[in-house]
Amino acid sequence: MFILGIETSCDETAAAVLTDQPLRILSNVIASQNEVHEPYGGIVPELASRRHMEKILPVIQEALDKAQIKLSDLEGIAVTVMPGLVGSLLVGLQVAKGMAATLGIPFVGVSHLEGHLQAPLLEHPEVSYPFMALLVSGGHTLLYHVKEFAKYELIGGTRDDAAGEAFDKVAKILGLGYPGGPLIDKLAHQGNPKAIKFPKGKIKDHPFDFSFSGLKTAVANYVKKIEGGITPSLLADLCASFQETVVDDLIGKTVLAAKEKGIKTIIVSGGVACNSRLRAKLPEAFFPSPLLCTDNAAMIAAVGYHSLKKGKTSPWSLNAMANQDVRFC
Amino acid sequence: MRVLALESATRTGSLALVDYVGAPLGAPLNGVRQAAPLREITLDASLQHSEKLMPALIEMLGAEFKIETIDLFAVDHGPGSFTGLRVGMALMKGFAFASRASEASGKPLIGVSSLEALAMNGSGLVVPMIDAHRGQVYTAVYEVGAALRDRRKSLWDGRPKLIEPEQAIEPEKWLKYLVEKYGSVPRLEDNQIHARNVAFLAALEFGRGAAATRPGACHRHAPTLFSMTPRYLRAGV
Repeated sequence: MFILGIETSCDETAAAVLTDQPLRILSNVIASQNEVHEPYGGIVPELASRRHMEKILPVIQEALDKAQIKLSDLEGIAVTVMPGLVGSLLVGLQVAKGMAATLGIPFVGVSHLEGHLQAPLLEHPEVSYPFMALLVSGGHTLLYHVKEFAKYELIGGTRDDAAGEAFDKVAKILGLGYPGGPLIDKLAHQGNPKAIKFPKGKIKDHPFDFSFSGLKTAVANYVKKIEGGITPSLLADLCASFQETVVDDLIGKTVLAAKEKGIKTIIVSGGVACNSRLRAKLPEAFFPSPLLCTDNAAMIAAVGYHSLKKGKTSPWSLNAMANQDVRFC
Repeated sequence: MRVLALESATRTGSLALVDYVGAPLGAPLNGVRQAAPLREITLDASLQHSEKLMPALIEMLGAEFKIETIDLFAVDHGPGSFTGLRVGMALMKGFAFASRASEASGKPLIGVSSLEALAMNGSGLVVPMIDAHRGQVYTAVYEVGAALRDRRKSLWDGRPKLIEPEQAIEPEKWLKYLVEKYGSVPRLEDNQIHARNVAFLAALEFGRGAAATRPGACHRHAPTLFSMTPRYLRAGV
C-alpha cells in the first residue's frame, strides 16, 4: 500500500510517500519558505499561501520520484486540514481532493497535532501504547496520555506562549534573529546553564500546565538592566540559562505526568524536540530525527494510513480550520 | 473536445462541463462558436468555495462520470478573491496533475482572466468590474461581439479584445477616466462570471497555443502546470 501525505499548514510545503509492512517512509520532501518570510521577521500568511501554490505540485512530484512510484500506485491521500493558516491549508486540501477524485482513491483530512504524535513511531516501531507525549513547537506545548491510535487524553498545556514561541521571542530580545530555537541552542553550548536563575512558570492546582510568558519577561528585564552592552560570554550564559529553564520545566512536568499515570514510555515531538539540550537531558524518551520533528508530511501520511486502515475517509465538503480543540473532542 | 471549467474568483462560484462538438483537442476553435454547456451550475458559495466546490462538481458530473473523458481543465486565474482563486486553481491543479496517471503528459490546465470571462456577458464596449475590497475594483475594458466580428471577419475567433489593461483602481477614479475617454460607461446586466465562458476562453487559448507550436503543446508563454499561479494584481504584503 502506498499513501501520499500532504502538509501545507504553515510555512513549509511538504509531501511524503509511505508504504506498509512494516509502515515506513519512502520519501519525505520539504520545501521551506524561510527566505520568503525572513525579511518580515515572521510568517506573512498571504505570502505563505502564494508560495504553497507554486511549490505544491513540484514537491508532490519529487516525493513520488524519490519513492520511485507512479501516481497510479497511490492508494490513499492524507492531507493536513487543521490547525494552521487557513489560506495555506486550503492549497494542500484542494490539491488532495482533485487528485483523489481523479485517481479514484480515498482521501482523509488529518490533524497536524495528531501527525506530531505519530512522528516518533515512524522511526521507533518498538514504541508501544500507551505513552506520554510531549508535543512542543512554535505553536503548541501540549502533554498527552496517548492510550492508542486516535485515543488522546490531554494532561496539560501552555497557558500563554508555546515553548518554541518563547525561544523566538527571547531570540528577538537578544537581537539574534528568526527562528530563535536553533540560534539559542547553538549559542547555549558556549554558556553556563546555571549562570542566571530564571523563574519557571507554575499554574496553581495544575501541575502539568506550562507558562512561558513570565520567563520571557524575566529575560527582557534582565537584559534591560545590563550596562554597557551584552558581551559574547554573557550572551551565551543568557541563552544557556534561558534554555535550561525551559528544558527543565518541560522535562520535569512530562516525567511527573508519566509517573502519575504509571506510564513507562515517553515520546517528544514538534520543532522544539530538535533542541539538543532537551534531547540530552531526557535520554530515555523517544525523539524523532530532526526532519520529522519539524513540519513534515510523513507524519501526516502515517495518521492517514492508520485512519484509512480503520475505514475512515473524509467527505468532499471537508474544509480547513485555523483552530482545533486540543482535547481532540 | 470536452472541457471542465471552474470559476471561483467571486463570492459565488460556477462550474461547467462543455463539449465543443466537432472540435478535436488542440484544433483552432474558429467557427465553432460557443457551444452550449452540457451541464452548468452556479452556486452561492458565499466565499465558502473550499466546502462547496467539490461536492457541487461531483453532483454536476454525476457519480458515474469518468474524469478521464475530460480533454481540458479550465480555471479563471484572477483577478479576484485571493483565497477563492487559490481554492479553484489548487483543485484544478489536483485534477490535471493526477490525470498524468493514465497518460504521460496528462490533460492540460489553462488559466484565463476572470475579467475577460465576465466581459463575455456583454457586447460592444464592456467594462467588467469585480469587487477588490479596500475601496477598489478589479477592472479592464474589452470590446466584445458583433462589431469586432465584422471587422475581423474570418480572423475572428470570438475572443474579446482588450482595450484597457487589467487593474485594481478606485471606482470613482475609474468612472471619471472612462467618462472622459469614452463618453459613457456601459453597465453589465449580468455580473456573474459563467464557467462556460471560462471553458470557451481556455479552449480558444489552448487551440491557439497548439496551432502556434506543435500538436498537444501549450502556448509558448503559458505557465506550466507546476508553476501556474493566480494573477493577483496586488502584492501579498
